[in-house]
Amino acid sequence: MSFTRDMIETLRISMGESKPMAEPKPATTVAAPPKQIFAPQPSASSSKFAKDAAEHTTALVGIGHIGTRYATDVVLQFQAELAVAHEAVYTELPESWARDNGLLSLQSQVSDHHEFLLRPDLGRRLNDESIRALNQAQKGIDVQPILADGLSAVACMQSGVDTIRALEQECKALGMTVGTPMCARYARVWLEDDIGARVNAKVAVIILGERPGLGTGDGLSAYMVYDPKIGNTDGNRNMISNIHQRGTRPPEAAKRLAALAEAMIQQQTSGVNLKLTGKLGEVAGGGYRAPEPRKRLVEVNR
Amino acid sequence: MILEPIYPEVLSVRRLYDAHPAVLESYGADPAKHRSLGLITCDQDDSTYVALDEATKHSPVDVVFARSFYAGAGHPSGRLSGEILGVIAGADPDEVEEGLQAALRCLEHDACFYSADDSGSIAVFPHVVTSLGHYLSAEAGLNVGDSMAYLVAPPMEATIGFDAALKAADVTAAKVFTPPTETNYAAAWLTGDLYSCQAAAEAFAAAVVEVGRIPKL
Repeated sequence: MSFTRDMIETLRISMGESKPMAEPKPATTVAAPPKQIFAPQPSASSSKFAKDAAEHTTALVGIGHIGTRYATDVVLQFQAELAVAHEAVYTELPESWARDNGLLSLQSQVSDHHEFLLRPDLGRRLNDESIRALNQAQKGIDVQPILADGLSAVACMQSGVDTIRALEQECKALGMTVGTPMCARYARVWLEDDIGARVNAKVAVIILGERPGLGTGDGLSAYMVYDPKIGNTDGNRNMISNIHQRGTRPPEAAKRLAALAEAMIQQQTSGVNLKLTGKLGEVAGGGYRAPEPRKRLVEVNR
Repeated sequence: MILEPIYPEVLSVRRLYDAHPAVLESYGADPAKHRSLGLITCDQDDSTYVALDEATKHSPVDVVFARSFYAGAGHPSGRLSGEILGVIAGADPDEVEEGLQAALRCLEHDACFYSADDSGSIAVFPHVVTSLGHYLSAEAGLNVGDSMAYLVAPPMEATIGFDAALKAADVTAAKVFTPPTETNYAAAWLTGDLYSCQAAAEAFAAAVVEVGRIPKL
């Protein structure tokens, strides 16, 4: 505690003093600060509505607050889910993956993953090699199913094959002809127009990894368009999102997609002009659905 | 036993939370800036100077008055006089209180004289201020944060000691108080880096003990 005292203590020994120096005075005891300044508060919201709602979504609702801040467990949950999203965006689909899973392998005009993220326009057109590869594909069909990596190769690899195979079966069951199943790398949604036009399909369906959100790095979306051709806009498309084990499961999604494809061919249109009435509305997911508890992809211990 | 601590005794501690402007002015405080005073008397003047400087490191107070009394603690004007009155001034009672607590802690645990001979009739103050506050740094003409060896002993011992200290380490003399001072001791403020100050203080203490052992050479 005292620099000088320590110095003198050493000095007196070197000067021949044998007895130890008298004990220093005891340090003043300082009262310990209170362990917790604020009374512990429950971090979760006390609203029953928020609690009930939180069971049916993976969104961070009903999380309450501590003072003006989030509770620590909420912050950790947020960070864990964000990490999953980052991981999904930066995962690449291996080049051989399509062939290994028995799909026709295609690639957009993008040459690497970095370019894919920065140039959506290149992701909407096939490269020359893929255009040649399309010669092996069936032409003039009703439905052309396309699997793609999109913004989450993780999702594509997890439930992509299940979804596209289920879609094939459902379409055939409804009496439609289905094109050669294919898989495109570095693909954006509008690539379905390019492919669909080249194989002369009535309806093109592209199933691709969706932009990862908090805690959904494994979600697939399916976009479908009647009369695929370059120049179609998003107003011409119908889509189903959140196709994954904790959302719309692949078999159910395939059933809805097939029903939509059938309706498109009947009505000869798609997108905002497609009438989702009656049974189609129900099959396509427009009807009543019983509330379902949702599980999180990652769960931080609380 | 040599070099045994001789602890200072704080004889009185009082506060003037709302001092009269005339008192503030006559004790060197600035009524525009200061309102409260903290006063200490103690039987060791040099320990108290160090303790007052310590107060300026812990609280925004100024040491406005600190004077040793003539002939030292052995001849006080009353039982509470000791050999020094120190006054710190601050803008409010809290600042002064914080400063006083720091000064009292320093007097209890850090700054003290040491006996330089077996009988205890020679006292030496070989104190190292590791980092100066703004009171002693201004008094010594040094910078805040500098290290300083604050060396005090009776006249003969001190003179031999200063010479030894200055020769033992890479230090310079910031100020030397030759005898007689108010208390009839002699003092020197030497400065350098911390370990030079330590070496100087050690050499000083050793020389003072040495003079006590062999007064005539």
